[in-house]
Amino acid sequence: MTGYNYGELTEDLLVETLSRLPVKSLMRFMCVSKSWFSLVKDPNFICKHLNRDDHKRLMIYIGYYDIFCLSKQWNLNPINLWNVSLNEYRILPKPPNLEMALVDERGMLSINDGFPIIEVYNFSTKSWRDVEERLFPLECYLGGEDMNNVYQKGFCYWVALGKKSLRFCDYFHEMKGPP
Amino acid sequence: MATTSTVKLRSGDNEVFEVEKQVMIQSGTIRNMIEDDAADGEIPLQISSRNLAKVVEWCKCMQHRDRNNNNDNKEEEEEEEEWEKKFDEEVSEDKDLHFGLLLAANYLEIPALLHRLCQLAADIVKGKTPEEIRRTFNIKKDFTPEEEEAVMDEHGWAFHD
Repeated sequence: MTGYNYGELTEDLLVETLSRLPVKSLMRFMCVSKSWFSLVKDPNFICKHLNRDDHKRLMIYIGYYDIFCLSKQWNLNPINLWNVSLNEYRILPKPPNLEMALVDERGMLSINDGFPIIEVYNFSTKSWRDVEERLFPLECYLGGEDMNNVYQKGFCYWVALGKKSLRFCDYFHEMKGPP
Repeated sequence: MATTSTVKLRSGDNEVFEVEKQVMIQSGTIRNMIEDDAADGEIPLQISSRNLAKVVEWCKCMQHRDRNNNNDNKEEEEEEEEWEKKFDEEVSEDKDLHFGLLLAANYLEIPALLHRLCQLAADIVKGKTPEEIRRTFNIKKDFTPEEEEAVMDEHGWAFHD
């Protein structure tokens, strides 16, 4: 049996393989073909890549600004942000009350697990500030393993979970990005 | 009820491998057959004897390792590491073997082996250029030069060391 090439891998196996690649290789491989380009940009693929714990870090890919957030564990390590386009690297100061964090296209959100204390990191003032509490009803928290946040036209959308019912997709919240 | 402690696997080229069930339950596919009492005869597999032998060898090694996990036998541990290293080298250097094992591990549902093989594939491709990738995966370039340039411009950093 000879003459196999990796091109004969099924889509599943290709995804399994590529999701184990470092970000740098993935960015380079977007040039390979249109289907590889779409694959690397695909939210499901990004999610799979994020969830590989063998990467020993979490990476959040922000489409518009190419910002990566590198952090081994949200609550234990400093949050490192890497803006690929500008080739800028920044370690954020530890936000008060941080247990989990989200990245917004222009800032960083810190969420105290289970409680709607939300802080936004503002890149221009380089500081954290609270977000008005009323934006998130007290009985909700943001979450799901993948932090189901979606960015659309300058707005950040989250799936918020109701604390009482714990049903998925109970609420869908909209919040304007930080100034 | 299953009575024997072994399972017989028949390769695509008609070689029969008799393996302990305890070893082969690492395969989801075979585990299901055993649980459904459908594994008492020979299990025909569309996997070549060469690849199947390798899969069985791998499963044996992993089972041995798991069983000894609590022992602090340094010598055996080193032996196993050595075996895994050799396995990695052999697979990385032999594309047909690598490819065949990927399909086999996928079909037999052996997550740990699949993980290992995908990681090896990732290690092989990670330093390649897009052109090398196209050759390796037999992919036709469907970007126009302008489109390609736009993508390269956007992610220029990824093209430098």
